[in-house]
Amino acid sequence: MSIEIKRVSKSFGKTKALNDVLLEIKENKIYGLLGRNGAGKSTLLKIINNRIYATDGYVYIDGLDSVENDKAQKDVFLMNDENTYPSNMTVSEMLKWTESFYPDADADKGLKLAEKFSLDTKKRFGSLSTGYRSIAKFIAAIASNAKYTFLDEPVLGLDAGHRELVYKIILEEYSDAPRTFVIATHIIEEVSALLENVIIVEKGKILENDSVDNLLSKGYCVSGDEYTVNEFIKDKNVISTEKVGSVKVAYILENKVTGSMQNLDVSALSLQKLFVKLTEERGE
Amino acid sequence: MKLTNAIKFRYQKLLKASGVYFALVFTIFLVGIIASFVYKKETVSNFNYLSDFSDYTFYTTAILAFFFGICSYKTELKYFLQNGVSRRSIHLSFIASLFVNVITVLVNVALVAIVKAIAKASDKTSLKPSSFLTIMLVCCTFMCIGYFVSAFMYSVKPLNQIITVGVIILLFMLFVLIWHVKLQGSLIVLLLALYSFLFGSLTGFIYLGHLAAALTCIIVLTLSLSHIITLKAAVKK
Amino acid sequence: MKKRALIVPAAFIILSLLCSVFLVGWASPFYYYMRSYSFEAYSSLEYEAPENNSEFTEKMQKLCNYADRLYSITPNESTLELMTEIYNSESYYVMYNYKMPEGYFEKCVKYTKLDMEMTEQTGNLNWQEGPYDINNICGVAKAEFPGTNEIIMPLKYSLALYMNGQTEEAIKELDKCIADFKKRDIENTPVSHAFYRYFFEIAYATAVERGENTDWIIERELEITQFEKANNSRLTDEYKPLENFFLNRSFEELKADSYEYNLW
Repeated sequence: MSIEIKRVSKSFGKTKALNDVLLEIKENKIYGLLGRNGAGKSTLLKIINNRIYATDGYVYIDGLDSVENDKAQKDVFLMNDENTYPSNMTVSEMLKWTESFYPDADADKGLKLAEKFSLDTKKRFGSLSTGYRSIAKFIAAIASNAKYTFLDEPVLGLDAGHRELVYKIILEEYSDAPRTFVIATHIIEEVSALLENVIIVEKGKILENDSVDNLLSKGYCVSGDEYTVNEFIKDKNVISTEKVGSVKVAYILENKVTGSMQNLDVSALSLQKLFVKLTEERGE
Repeated sequence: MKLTNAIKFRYQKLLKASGVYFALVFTIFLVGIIASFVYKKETVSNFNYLSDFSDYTFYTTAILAFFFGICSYKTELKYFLQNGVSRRSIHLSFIASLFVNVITVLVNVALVAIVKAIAKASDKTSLKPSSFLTIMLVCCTFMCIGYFVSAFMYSVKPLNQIITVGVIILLFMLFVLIWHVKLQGSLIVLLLALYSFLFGSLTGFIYLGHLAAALTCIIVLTLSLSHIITLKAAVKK
Repeated sequence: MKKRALIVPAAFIILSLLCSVFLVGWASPFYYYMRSYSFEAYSSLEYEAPENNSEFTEKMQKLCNYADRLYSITPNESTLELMTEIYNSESYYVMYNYKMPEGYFEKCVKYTKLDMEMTEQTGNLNWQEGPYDINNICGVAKAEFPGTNEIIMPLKYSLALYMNGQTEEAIKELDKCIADFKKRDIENTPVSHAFYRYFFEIAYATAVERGENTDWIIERELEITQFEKANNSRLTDEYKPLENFFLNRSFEELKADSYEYNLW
């Protein structure tokens, strides 16, 4: 059981937002969907969730064609920045209707989550601040208990405390009753601890689709004085280097070599750094 | 399941609005009845006036139906797409919601019947089944037209909107020109004909075959056009 | 989006457009002429207007042609009601002596008779249902008493016969009406001359116009007057001293009356 994205392309006029995307989103995993601005993340999510149509290709949700299919769409839920909720609807009504539209949804869970966020459920959606609107939508996404839950920038406009709470809730949900979460975000460092798998989208194509461990194990980072580092990286596949004062940092994309790393500090690549470097490089 | 809930959602909104409207109508009738008793004269002309006035509420119910249509597209499209409802189900739920006109017209008939009973009115034409059935059809037509206008304004690009409206205005001007030059008609005749065509049932003078056919054509046309627009619709920022 | 999803709505659009074209072509001239003739007629209803309003006659002819065609396709209660509205010997156009199209009065006879027969068959009145209140003794006779319209319909038929030149039959029908009326309980039947008003007005003016004998009309006017004076206790003081309740006027005088009182 999975979501299969088969050779999906999407064009907006002359602009090709997605180009022949081939992807599989398995059940009960947490994915990070990363990409630069305009890479095509939101477009992909909207296509899966029947918000827009693909120009080419197919999307199958557990074997069912996702396009214009109520049955297939009952297993997916998309939370994004689009203004889709009626402004005069209260948060409690919103949760009640989510429970109606999604067979496994739990409005009571949503109400409990609202308490954690100190969100007044009697307030109308239109009267909420930007941050609380994101929270309300996030709560609806969690309460929906949809098999594949897509969160497009779930922490947009949230303060640090609420961001922490969001990540905590995702983990709790995942551990209590596993389901698939796909989190599209720019705040990679904060979310990287949550992720099992990463999908990197760049200019409408899938750049990387692998587990976090595998991705990070592809390289490492060395730092030290400039001379030592330069000597070390002479024959290495260096993604890029940075100089901070007298310290030079080099990002290497190959397996770690033991032995010749004296006087050097070795650390794992961070996901953010890897992402930035990968997308920078390919962008050039 | 999605379709059923979409229908429930629509009805919740429409019935709430209808409740407010009929509360207002009821209040106006109540005030009118009390005033008629207070200022009662020998010729009972106040009650006759009230009886005639009550028939006009059918027109306002038709206008209400138009606004139901106008307010049934944008919010529902976005909200239903958010909840994974397919566009086909969104459209079918609107068609199911047309039945609300049966409810509003029947409530209207009940109120008018009460007023006419109190006024001991002789003209009960608007309470005949053929009369209020045609009004139901008129209300459905107005609701479909409102829905289509709303869908058109939401989904069609501004440039295409301007072109379409421009073409319609040109066609209308051409029609008026032909009407005046070739047929020597007047706008009043046209409006009278349209009025008697749509609301002639209230005065007991209906050509049910023509009316039902013409209104059905309009309903089918506007629903089909709205369906095509909805199939291509997306959530706008 | 699958293109085949567009097939059904597209098919419905084409179908409804074709039906609309058919309806507009078939039905709308009917409505146009229906409203157009009454608008033209009412707008030219002035005392100084010429009697032979040929434009009216042309339009009325067109209307009648369409109406006949309509009835021949769909003969039912609803369309018959329309026919009695159009072919109405008590209409203002007749009252003010407009030149009616060829065969108009013949069809007045035909459709009034059909209307009567249909009422007998169905037991329903084929026009606005009663009961009504009496508003005005000189106004249109509406009554909350049963049997009212059983008086009016044969009267209309009788007038239609007279306007069509069938004087003998018209007098026979009129006498039948009067005899039937006299059998009723006058106290529980609305005042009679309200029913007979249009009949006698138009018949008298037409007789004068045609240079025919008006004695039979006046004879029956007096009969109604006498009967009412003797039997109707609800008669007002305005009418009690009158020898004849009915004003015998020519078409010119009827038009002048209308001009002055702006009846319509």
